[in-house]
Amino acid sequence: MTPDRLIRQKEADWRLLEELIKKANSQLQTMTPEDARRLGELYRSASSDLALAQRDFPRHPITRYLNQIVARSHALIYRQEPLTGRKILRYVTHTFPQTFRRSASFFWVAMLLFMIPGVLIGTLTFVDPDQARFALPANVQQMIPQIEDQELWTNIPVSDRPYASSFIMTNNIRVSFLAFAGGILAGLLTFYVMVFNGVVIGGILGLTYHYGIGFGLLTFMISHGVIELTVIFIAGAAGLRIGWAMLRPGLLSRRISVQRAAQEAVVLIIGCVPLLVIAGLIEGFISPAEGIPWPVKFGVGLTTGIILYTYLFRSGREDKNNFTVAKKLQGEKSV
Amino acid sequence: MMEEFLNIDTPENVGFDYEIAGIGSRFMAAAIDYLILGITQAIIVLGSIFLIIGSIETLLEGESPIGGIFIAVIFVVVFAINWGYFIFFEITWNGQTPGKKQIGLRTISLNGLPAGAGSIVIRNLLRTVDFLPISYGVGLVTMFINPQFRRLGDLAAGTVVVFDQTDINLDQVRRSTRTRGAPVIVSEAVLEMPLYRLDVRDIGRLEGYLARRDEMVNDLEVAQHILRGLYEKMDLEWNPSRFTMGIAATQLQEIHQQLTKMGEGE
Repeated sequence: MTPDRLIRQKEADWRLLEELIKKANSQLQTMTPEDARRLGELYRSASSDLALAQRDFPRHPITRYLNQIVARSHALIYRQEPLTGRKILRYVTHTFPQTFRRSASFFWVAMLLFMIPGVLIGTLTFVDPDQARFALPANVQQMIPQIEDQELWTNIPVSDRPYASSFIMTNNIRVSFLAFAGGILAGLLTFYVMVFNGVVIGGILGLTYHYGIGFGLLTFMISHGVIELTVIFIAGAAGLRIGWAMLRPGLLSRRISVQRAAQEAVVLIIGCVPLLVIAGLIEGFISPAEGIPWPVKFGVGLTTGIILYTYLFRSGREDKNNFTVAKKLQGEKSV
Repeated sequence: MMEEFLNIDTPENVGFDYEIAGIGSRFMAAAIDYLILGITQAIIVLGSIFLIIGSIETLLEGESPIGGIFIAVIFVVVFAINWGYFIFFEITWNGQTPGKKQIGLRTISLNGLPAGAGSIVIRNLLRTVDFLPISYGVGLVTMFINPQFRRLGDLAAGTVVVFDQTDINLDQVRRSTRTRGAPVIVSEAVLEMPLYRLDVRDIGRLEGYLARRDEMVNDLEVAQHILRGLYEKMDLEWNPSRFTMGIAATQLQEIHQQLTKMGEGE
């Protein structure tokens, strides 16, 4: 077989295949079932032309051309199902909570990484506030004089609330992304993000309690804090999952192990974004509102917590009815 | 070791390949993207500052929340553009961003399929780490170590950046085939050659030369080299002084023509 002959014989087929590829890429709706069938046929025929060309004349331009149309149609034919509304709904009700439960151990570890330094530093600043200068990070230390004057900074003026809300929201999302991305450095950056935030929040709470304004701060934090901290822990779990896959790949190669963990972790981190938007809205509008009494704010925290944790631990569990249906079908099959 | 090609085996058991993008072209694409990002954000921020200054008095007088809401919206928009630019374009443009499109690059999955939404989010969130400590320090180091020029984000997402496959069409192929020139008169010497001793690989080499000789700087030297190979295969005596470069090229064309004739006579 010579290139000239191959071109003469198959040119019409290839041109048609090119047309179908173009059609499928730009206006998928106009594809008829006949077009799709034809695309598959032409793709297979072009693949065998490519195999022949690679064997007989690998350096001829026609081989490069065939390589290109086979690659383009291969990408079309074997592509995954596109993002649909149904898939997004399924993500909310099943994929996200199920993935969360598979990573639950990392969630608890992330929580402890935050809580242990938080409680330790909090106790320290409560008992001995002078230590706060050494225990707290530099940019948090500028808050110390204000706390010593028994002033809270949480009284955000009404006109600033939308601004504060969006600032806090984006900042929290940034921290979550960092905790996730930090996993790729063997989890070290994730570790740092968790501990750092634990130290800051624990330290400030301890210090404010020492000066008698702690309850005020807690009242401010409680409404949005339950969601916010849970989400930060989820982001931490996502990062730790990647880091752990890197350190302990088990029977997989490190690269494959990290790839798999990242595919799970990204499911978690995507879910963090809408949750942080909710937390940010509460933090901007409910938390600083002076008209709302403290029991209501605690109530908001408790309610959001119950809803969130019920969702995380209960949603998308295997349905008993589905199970019996599946059994029945299996039974029928075996009969 | 650096690899130039990503080989994919299809379920039909045919292998094809993608040319892997190097650091240079990826740098160019990223430069364009960051330029677009920078300009867009500058326009938004400067524009809103302009608006705020223009109406600062009305904003300051009343306790109106409009100013706050306005700033909040700008804040969220800039944040979303910053983090979402690459993710948005790579998902909606099938692995391309404006910069990648300009340079002719595409992000694909390692198995040759379009990168999934999850993978795109992974590789672009990990951009933060690849960017550490400054301007893609970590990313560059991993790209130098990795034979397929993949940065950390690509490694975790299972993606690779390749040159887009739209660089040659059938008309170009035909044109380059036609440069073989007009039919030549096949000389007596070529007619007597035992051409049947040549196998497909020799013919392929000959075809490759004829198709590409216009792009070659040293095409006459290559012609001599290939002709010598064919002579050895056919057990003919090779006398370099008889074959000046020009004659070698002509004779290759004659051999090709004769082979084509034989092929069609089958």
